[in-house]
Amino acid sequence: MKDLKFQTLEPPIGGLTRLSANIDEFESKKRKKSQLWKVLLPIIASTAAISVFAYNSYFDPYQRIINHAQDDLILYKLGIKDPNSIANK
Amino acid sequence: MNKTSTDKSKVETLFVKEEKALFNIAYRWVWNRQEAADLMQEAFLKLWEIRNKIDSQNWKPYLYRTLINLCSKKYRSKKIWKWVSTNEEELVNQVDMEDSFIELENSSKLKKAVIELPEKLKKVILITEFSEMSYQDAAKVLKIPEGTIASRKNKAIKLLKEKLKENT
Repeated sequence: MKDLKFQTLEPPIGGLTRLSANIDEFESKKRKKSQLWKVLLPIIASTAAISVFAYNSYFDPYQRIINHAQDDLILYKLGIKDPNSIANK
Repeated sequence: MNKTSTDKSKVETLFVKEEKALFNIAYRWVWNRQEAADLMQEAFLKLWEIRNKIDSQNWKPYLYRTLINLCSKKYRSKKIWKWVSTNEEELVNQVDMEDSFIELENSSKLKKAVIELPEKLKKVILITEFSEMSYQDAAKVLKIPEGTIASRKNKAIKLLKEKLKENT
């Protein structure tokens, strides 16, 4: 390799300072991200829970039967009999 | 001192130790000082990001491997962007202003020869030339057997010599 010797170049100055700043910036971004998630996660979780609850209460057939039955019971108590009511079956 | 500060000082120590070698490897790939320095920073940041997942003894091989992959990616994308006149000649002639006084007299010939080297040979010759790594460590970096390092290095030297002869 004698005749093929590469010359060793000096790297640009300030590389270490730049690296240190880059690491600090990376860490700060990471911290901000985790803080944001701490706020967002409960919001997302509660929204999801409410949506699931609302979906189930609206579309769940058993829940609808119970709702109807309760309505019929109220009507019955009020003296209104509904012959087609599920509660009477 | 918490873990982050300890890791930071470890990475900084590694930077001080390996900066010159890494810069020279990156420079011989992209032939531009600024880009070489940027790639080096990127490799160190990738190491920083993954530092907890790998053993600190493997930081150095990981760093070299990452830098070489980044350089290779950069070089390929440069070639694609040079698509309009996509020959190697074009890349060779993209001489940095600093090259004229940084490189040796025969630099442009050597540069042309290095650029024309197949990538797998280039990786081996640059690592073994600048990093002062043993064949064993270089093999660990490139994830190839030790014997392959030696044979690729010989092949690379032979090719470089042939190219230099051709150009004289």
